[in-house]
Amino acid sequence: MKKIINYSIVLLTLLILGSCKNSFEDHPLTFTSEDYIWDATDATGTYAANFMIKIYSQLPTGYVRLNGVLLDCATDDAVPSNKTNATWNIINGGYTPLSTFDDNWSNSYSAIRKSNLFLANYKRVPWADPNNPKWLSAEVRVMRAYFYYEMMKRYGGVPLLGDKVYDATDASLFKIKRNSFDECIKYVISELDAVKDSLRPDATLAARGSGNGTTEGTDGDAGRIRKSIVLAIKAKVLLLAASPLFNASTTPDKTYTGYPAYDKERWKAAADAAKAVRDLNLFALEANRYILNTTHVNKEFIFMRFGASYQNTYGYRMSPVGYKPGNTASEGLISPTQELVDAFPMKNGKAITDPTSGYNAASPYTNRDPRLDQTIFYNGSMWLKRPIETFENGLDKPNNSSVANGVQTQTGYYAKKFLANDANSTAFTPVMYHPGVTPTFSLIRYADILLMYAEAQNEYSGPDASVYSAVEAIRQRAGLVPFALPTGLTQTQMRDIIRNELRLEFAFEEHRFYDIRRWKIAKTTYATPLHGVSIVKNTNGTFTYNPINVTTPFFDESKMYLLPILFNETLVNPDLQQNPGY
Amino acid sequence: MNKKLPLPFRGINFYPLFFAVLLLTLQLQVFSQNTGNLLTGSVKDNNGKPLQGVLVKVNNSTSFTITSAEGYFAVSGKDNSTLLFSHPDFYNLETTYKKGNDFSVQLFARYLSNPGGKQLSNDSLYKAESIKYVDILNGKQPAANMIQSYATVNTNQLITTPASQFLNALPGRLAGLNISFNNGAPGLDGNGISYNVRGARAQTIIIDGVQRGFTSIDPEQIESVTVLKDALATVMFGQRSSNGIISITTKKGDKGTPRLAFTAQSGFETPSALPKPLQSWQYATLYNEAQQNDAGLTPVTTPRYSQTDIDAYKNGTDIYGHPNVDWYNTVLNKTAPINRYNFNVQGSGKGFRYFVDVDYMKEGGLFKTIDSNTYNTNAQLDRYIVRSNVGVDVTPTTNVQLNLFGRIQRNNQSGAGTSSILSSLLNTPQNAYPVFNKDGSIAGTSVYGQNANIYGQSVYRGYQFQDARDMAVDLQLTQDLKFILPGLTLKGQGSYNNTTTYTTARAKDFAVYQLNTNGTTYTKYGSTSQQGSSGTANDRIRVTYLNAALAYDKSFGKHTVNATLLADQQSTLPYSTGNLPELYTDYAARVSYNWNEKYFIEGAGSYAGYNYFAPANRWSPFYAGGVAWNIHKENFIKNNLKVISNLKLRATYGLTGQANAGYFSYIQTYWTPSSNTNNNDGYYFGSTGVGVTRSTGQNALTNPNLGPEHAKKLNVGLDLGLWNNRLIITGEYFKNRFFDLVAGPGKQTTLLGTGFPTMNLQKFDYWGTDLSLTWQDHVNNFNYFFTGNFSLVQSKVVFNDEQPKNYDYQRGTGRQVGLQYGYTAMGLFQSYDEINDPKTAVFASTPKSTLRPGDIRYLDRNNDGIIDNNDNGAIGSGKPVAYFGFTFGFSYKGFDMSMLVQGTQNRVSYLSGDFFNGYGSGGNYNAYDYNLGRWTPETAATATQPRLWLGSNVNNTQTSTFWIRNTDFIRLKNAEIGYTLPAKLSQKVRIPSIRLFANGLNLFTWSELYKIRKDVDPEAMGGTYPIMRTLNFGITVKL
Repeated sequence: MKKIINYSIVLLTLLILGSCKNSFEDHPLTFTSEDYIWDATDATGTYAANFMIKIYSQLPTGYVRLNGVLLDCATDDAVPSNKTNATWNIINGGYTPLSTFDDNWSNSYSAIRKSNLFLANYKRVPWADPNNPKWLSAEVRVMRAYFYYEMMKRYGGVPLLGDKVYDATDASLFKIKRNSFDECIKYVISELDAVKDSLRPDATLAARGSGNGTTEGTDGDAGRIRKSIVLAIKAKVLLLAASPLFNASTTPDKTYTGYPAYDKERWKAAADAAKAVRDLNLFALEANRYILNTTHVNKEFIFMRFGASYQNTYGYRMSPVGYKPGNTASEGLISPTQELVDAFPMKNGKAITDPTSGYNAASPYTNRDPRLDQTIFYNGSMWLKRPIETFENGLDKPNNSSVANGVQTQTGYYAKKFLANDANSTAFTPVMYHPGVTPTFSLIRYADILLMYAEAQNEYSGPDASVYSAVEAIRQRAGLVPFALPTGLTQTQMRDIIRNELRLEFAFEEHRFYDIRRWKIAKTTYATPLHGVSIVKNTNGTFTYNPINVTTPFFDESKMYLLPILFNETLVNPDLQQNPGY
Repeated sequence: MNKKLPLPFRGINFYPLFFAVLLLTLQLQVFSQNTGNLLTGSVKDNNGKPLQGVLVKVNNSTSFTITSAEGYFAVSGKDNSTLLFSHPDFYNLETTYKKGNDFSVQLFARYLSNPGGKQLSNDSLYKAESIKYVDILNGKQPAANMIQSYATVNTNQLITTPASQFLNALPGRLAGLNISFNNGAPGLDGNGISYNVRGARAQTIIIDGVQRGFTSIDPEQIESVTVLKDALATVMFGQRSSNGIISITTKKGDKGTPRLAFTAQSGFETPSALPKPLQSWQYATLYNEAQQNDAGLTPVTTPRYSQTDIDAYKNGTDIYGHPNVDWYNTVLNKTAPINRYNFNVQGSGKGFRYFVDVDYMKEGGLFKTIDSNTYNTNAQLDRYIVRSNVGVDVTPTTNVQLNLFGRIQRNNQSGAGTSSILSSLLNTPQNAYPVFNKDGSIAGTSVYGQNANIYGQSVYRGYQFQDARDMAVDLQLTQDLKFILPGLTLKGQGSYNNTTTYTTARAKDFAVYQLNTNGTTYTKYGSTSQQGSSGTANDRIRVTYLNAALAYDKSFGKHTVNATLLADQQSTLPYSTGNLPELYTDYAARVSYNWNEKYFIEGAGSYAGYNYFAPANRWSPFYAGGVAWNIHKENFIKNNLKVISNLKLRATYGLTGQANAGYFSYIQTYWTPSSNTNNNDGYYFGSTGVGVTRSTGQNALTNPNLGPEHAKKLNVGLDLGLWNNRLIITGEYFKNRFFDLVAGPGKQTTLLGTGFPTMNLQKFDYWGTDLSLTWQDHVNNFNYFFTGNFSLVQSKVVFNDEQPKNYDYQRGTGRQVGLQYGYTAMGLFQSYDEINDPKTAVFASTPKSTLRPGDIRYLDRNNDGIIDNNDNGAIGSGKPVAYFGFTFGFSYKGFDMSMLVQGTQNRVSYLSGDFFNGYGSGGNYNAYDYNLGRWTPETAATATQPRLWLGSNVNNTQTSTFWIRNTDFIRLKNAEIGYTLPAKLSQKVRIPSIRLFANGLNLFTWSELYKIRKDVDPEAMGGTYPIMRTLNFGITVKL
């Protein structure tokens, strides 16, 4: 009996397993393993180099990335045209750890993990070209530093992970503490300093610009991290460190919320860092600001989030709702506020509140700073060969169901920024925005460096000549006549001018949201009623402009200058401190 | 001697033969004590074939006999006395014996099999004939000896259900099996069906012991469906043993001469419910109301619809400019046809048995079609099935069983797709656009552009169809090894199954036209395209199964031993993915012993492998054991309580497993540029902005320690049969602890920089009871039965590595598995005063300025003055899931009837979608009759719905108790009436048996949900194809 059973088991086993044993491998050999990426037999290191590409792809972008509208809809510059847009939740109620907003925390730590994986493994590749490991590892370290900066501007000090790649089962993951703001700044600066001379060489100014001011430059490595980008990031980081929000913190006992005490020298460091970029002599302001919307490579762009080629879709997103080029209805997603419109001076450089400016309330858009026309669609401005009609029941504010979902301007304005100069075209000129993939977006451009310098230098030494020249360069390029500022401005007057220039020059470029926090002025600029205009077309063809109250955003200055860390993060890790007030 | 013997027997010396057979088979003969004539005759079954083993009793006498293999009987009695015929598988018959003819009676098969497995008579005359076997994994056992937990139905309970999938026949019939339907469209295997055994997660159907893809086969070829519920019943299935198994046994052929059966049936289906959208004028009126609601106290000066508009909608004066289209009636027919034709033949000869079945089924859809299309745009399922099961004794000790199965299915639908049309029907208001414009062109608007017109989706978008081809070959060899050791058998089985599914799309686009305001010209949206042609291979799967088993079955006096040793492997190779085959391998054994059929003990186990696990974790042991006691065999019952015909106490306990791992998921993988087609993962350099540089990177983290999920299962059962098993009660209690369940850890941090891998960490308890009760009896020739079952399943999360929570009500641990989480609604705001009361808590994202009377008010559970995630808690009922079914019926002379009522208790649903879309998306969603119950200041007291709104409404669309509603239901799931023509009539056309029948599915439904709205089915809500009510008529001819 036993014999039979034994015999049978052997037989059965052979029967079942014998036939298919050799048909297939034990586990799939098709899987791409770690050794394939850090290929010890590939001297070109193709896959290792591609590993870094993914880190590049996590650099932030802009445009309508947030609930389908611009980040600036959560500032005093604009509101979403669609009343049901989720950004209204932020406008009306702010943000909490349970409903975070513009949260770059997980994207940054995901990029940091990839950076650390790269740095831990890239030496396994027998690089033939010694420049490759040097350049690539330096690029990775710069991006890692930049992701920390992206978090610091939102949260203050965050956990610095160093070069460590954590395992999922590592219990210490749930005991990580936040580093102090000071430590974070020092770490980021030391990283930038360490590698700034280990990068591939910068392109010349000639290679950046094509010379004719309309087409692309020839710089084939545009987009790669190079020394100019490192210095520009450094200036950004140091300016953040010198800013009132962190310098000094109102909660000095919580070192992750900023420096315990004010130190004027931080402005000096920021000014010097910005000056270092100017001194490279690799950049210049483009005379024509529309160039910035239609080229990837030009004299002005320093640090770009590079993306796919041009599309005309942005025209449909932004154009007033009465336009239907190619039978596709425009969406008019953004409604800029009267506050932003009023911030634009007259063409003569004088604020509209200045009695000598020549501002005429009955014809409010005449003789204004040319940037108004480049930024805002207002009633009567020319677009696709017809004047825009945002008066009541006009083509672009029809007040009826003829537009999709009833979405139309809330303020009497639409946003034009990033579009080409299509006043006399019949169709949209493609611009950099690309709906299918992440588009190209300017993170730092030369105008930024000039104004950063002006801001820091004005804070450090007052409005000296170098401050004047930096601000005037911006105004000159904007087309103000005269562009020169009055002499003898006080530091405070100059500060207000610089802040206004930042607002206008970088409108809808995701500056305003963080600037009003960095300067700690959000309570006054933001938590007050925002206005629009209701325009009535009179029978004689003239217009009557009636201000309307659009909304009063919610802002709690006791906490909302810093963003909250997502609830779950502090929940699973009690050692990870939440920002004050949340 | 009777001179008019049936033809085959003429000239044969009949009585000696008859007596010889009787003596040989029974070795016992009982003669009546009082002298009389010898009453002779024959008994036939449904098919008109001789029926052996029928007990024939003479009324008011002790005289009885049983029928021979040829169906003959001879019993002493008086002429004109009443004869009683009974058989465990057939209904009883009483009839008066009439001398002088070929006396012949026909018995009709029972609807319910005899669950006790014993002859209803207490007589032990032919026990061997009446033993009922239950198909268990890798073998069968006498029902009376079962320790395992199971429930079974036979073919009779399946064929009364007119549906393409036999699973439609199962809800309410098997205790412990919960089946629900959420889609009634003609479709392929498993369309719209979900089911579980005692609440367990995964679902396993095996056919003749092999897990395959053919879950819709015709019920005529099914001998029985058995649900295997406890650990002992499933443990030999190794890494698939945790979740209960639905085991299907196909027919292998009855004994006897060829029996042919032909059934033709034809019926029609109507939707059990269709949403009832508002008339255009009501829609417009309510739209304006919603607009005003959103504006609050500010009067809306320009409502979207003017009074002129509303009047035009109401009066139908401008059907093109102000349409009011009943889309459901425009696009759908009232009924859809269903037809089925089945032919089967079975029988046996010397050394062989066979069953051959051919089935054609066609189920139509509801969509209207137009004659100008030369192709079918309607939903339709065409299915051809052929099965041939043949068993041959190639030597006296060797049997070969060869089962062949082939199936061809085609599932047709419009080029737009059935689900797209139904979702458009649900969401399109009646005033959106007319069907056609005045000039006959198909209508649309800028919002409803190309391909949007629903009628157009149905008939102008071409067609698509999915073809499925299945082939299965099973070869089984059984070798009796009695020459080595009596009782020893060796079995080997090989099964090869091939499935291919291919979709062919021959779709096209159509443009729509909108009349311009000038009233003469049209704007065209989109374009009309040529019909395209594309094909997609969906699945090509090969399943092979090999098994070899050594079985030993022997009685030694009062000791009976039964043992099985088995090795098997199932290999599933999906050609469509290029993956390696998935392998389940078992080395399994089962040993059972009983003493005198009184005390039973059984143990089983498997050492089972699953190749997707890391090598160190591939093999795991599973085991189970059980005991039973047939108490009714004890003398103290036998002698004192004769009313008890069966009383058994049984218990099992075991450890089972379930593999739940992704494809070789223990191996850490990376992606390469070629596999990374997502542009967002790449990056651009240089000035051109074209030519993305693609990336490589690490895929999701893996867990190399992942192993099978486990369960410890306890089952205790009591079987009780009273009054010769006329009443049978089975009650079972089970407690299953599932552990090592695979899930992502609750505690995760993004500081890791990537997702956490899944782990074996959850622990869930499921416990409950299965009860069933059956009564079968007859009053003279009126045979009737009642059977009911009731199942109760409760569950609890024992461990779930949850995130830390601030409040106990937020925790899932300790609560029911799968409970809904959300806010607690306190009703609707009745006034601005209530909203603006400082004590009223609201969401930060929906400040009081945005709230209106009629919006939902939520409970501030932690009393912090604000509604936020901390107020989110378990809001499901938490009550045990209960489901039940009652079947009753009768047979009287040629008439038979059965009826199944099925339902659930403690069922709740989260009513999302059309329930609260309202006028969302800027008024591009629909509103329905039930929306008339919305909150208005006038109807504040009686409102059943919140106030109306446009667009999105964050406050009212939160998951909350407001939208969790009781959806208990009771259905008249199935009913059949049949009439078998008297043999005398049918014999005139030389057909032994003709039966006419009518049956139905989902005939009547009552649901708790009807209190809110009646235009939905409680199981299939929203935009799914409705559950169908089917009425069906047919004829069965048996030869």
